[in-house]
Amino acid sequence: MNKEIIDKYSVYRKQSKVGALVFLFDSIRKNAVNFLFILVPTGFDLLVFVIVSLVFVFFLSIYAYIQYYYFEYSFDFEKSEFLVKKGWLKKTKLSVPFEKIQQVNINQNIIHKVFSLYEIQMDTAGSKDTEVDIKAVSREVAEDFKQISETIKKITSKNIDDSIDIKKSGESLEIDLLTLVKTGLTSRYFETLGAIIALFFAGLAMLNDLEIDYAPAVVDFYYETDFNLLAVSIITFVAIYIVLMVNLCLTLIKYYGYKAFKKLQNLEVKYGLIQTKSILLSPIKVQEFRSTQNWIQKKINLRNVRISQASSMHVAAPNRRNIVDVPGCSNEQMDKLFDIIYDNKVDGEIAVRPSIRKFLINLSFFAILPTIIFIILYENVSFLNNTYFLNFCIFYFIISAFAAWRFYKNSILYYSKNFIRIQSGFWDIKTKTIESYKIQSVMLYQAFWHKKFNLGSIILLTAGGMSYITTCNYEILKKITNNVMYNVETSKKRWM
Amino acid sequence: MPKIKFENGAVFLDQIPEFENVETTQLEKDYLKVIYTNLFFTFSIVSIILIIIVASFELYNKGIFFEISLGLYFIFWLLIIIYYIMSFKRRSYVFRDHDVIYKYGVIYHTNVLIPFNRIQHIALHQGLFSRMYGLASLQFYTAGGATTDINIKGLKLETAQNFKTFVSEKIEKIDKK
Repeated sequence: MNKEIIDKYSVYRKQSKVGALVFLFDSIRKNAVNFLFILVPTGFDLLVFVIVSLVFVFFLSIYAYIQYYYFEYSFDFEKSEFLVKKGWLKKTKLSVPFEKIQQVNINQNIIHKVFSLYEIQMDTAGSKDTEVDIKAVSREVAEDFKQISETIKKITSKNIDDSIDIKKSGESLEIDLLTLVKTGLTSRYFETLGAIIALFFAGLAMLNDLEIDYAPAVVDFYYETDFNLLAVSIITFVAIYIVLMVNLCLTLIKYYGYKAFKKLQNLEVKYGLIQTKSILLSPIKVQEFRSTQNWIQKKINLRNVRISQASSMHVAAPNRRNIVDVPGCSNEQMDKLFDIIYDNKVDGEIAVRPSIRKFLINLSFFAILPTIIFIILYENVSFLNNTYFLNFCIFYFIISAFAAWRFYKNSILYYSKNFIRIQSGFWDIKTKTIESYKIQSVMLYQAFWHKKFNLGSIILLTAGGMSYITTCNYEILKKITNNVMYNVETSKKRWM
Repeated sequence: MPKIKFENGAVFLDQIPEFENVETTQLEKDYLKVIYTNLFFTFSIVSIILIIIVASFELYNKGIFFEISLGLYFIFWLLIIIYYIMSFKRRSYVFRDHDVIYKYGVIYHTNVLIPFNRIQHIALHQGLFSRMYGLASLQFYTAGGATTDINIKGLKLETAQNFKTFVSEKIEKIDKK
């Protein structure tokens, strides 16, 4: 990089002067809805309309000018940081180390094109928004930014340690048709049910739109049908059958010909019947390894696996390429996949389980309390004073008490030297595995009434999401926190 | 740190620093004034709106009902003030060699720990009232998301700047390694 650029950008610079107009158009676009709200009470009188618009644009231009005037950026090449100063009443100074900048995007929308300006966005890992957004710079500055960002890239790429594990190359994993059928019949019930219900209501809405009056037919059906045990069981059976079939078809179409294989240091995944998808997964970037298994799947040795990798979400969100799903695999296949991705093995685990208080509290809030309310309703509301409702109460109590128990029983944190696994759920049992050194931050909290019981909760954050467990022994959680911090702080490995 | 030779060695390592035993620093006393100022402004705005509503609907004619509501309104604000004072007293921070720890929370006593080598970027904010008392807040962002980003409010501007430089240098050193 030449000295000219260094000198030019080492002092704080404002954006291009014409850029204030970009701010103005931007804020008009953002506030257009509010503007309409102001207009409604005016009754759309032309004179009032013109006056209101002028006042509106006047205030927005002041706002836009303030935004423009109090925004300054610069580079600190010595400390290798990018700096931003912004804000009028609340002033903010932002510093982003070069190493953390993942991407520099240079964009142009229509307004930019009119004034031949450019927008510069800088992305760092993980967070949902663009951290730095320079709304309007001239062509010259944009060119300079390209040059600087290339230099930054060189600095960053120096830190990559190319520890390619060649011996693992060529390993692969295939999922056969039978496994897919098994998966389709045993997983994602709730999602499919939700989708079907959504589709059902969409259908109703469409009938409404077409002005087809279906209500009398439904009412007739309701009154004419004798809701005896046989009818109810037939309806239930048909519903279950539809869910299963839809599930099976969706799974087969989506995941037909699933193949995962090791390619250089990456894992490549290909699948799909109609449209073949191909995803490249880099093991360094993997943040979370999640496996799900329900009671039926446990009996037939089947699991669903989801692998999340870190990426700048701003870029990856639209097609969710940062998530790889393995629709169904056996325990052995999962272990194989785990080996491909991670260098270390899980060994010498200790299990941390929540206190029985977690169960008691869930039981009282989600089972006992609603049941008491139902019983009171049963006693006092004549409309509900029938055996159906009483049966429903009993049914609800049994199911919710059982769910509370399962939730409590399945909630476990496994700690080992390199990995933390957190298990949870009541029907689909989820196990999230995260590597200790990839943890971003730890939150440890304790409700004040839990102090005397020495209980607390922990949240572990990675760039792939959060994992938590509540109401556990606080001393052990503290120990885990200290060990995690030690692992992260002594680690020199890249986490993405 | 002793090296673990056996695969079946202890899961927890001994002799590593314990975060709970580190002495933490409380926020500047002046920050309480900022809290009071903010509360006063919110109180004024809410009260003015309520006075307009009461006046336009002549709610003050409702007798005992109005008096009880008025009493509850002031008790409500008293509770809010007490809550904010308690919350102020619970907030404290410490910068260790390799991480920053922030403690807060009245109902849930919370500790957030962020290692320096996971910090993405740092921001120094100065609100309108904070500037009048020469205070600033320091915010640390990680790739983990907003849940655990630390925002230490109520630091002296100079202290905040020093800590910002301190942490920036730490980040730089880590990356150079």
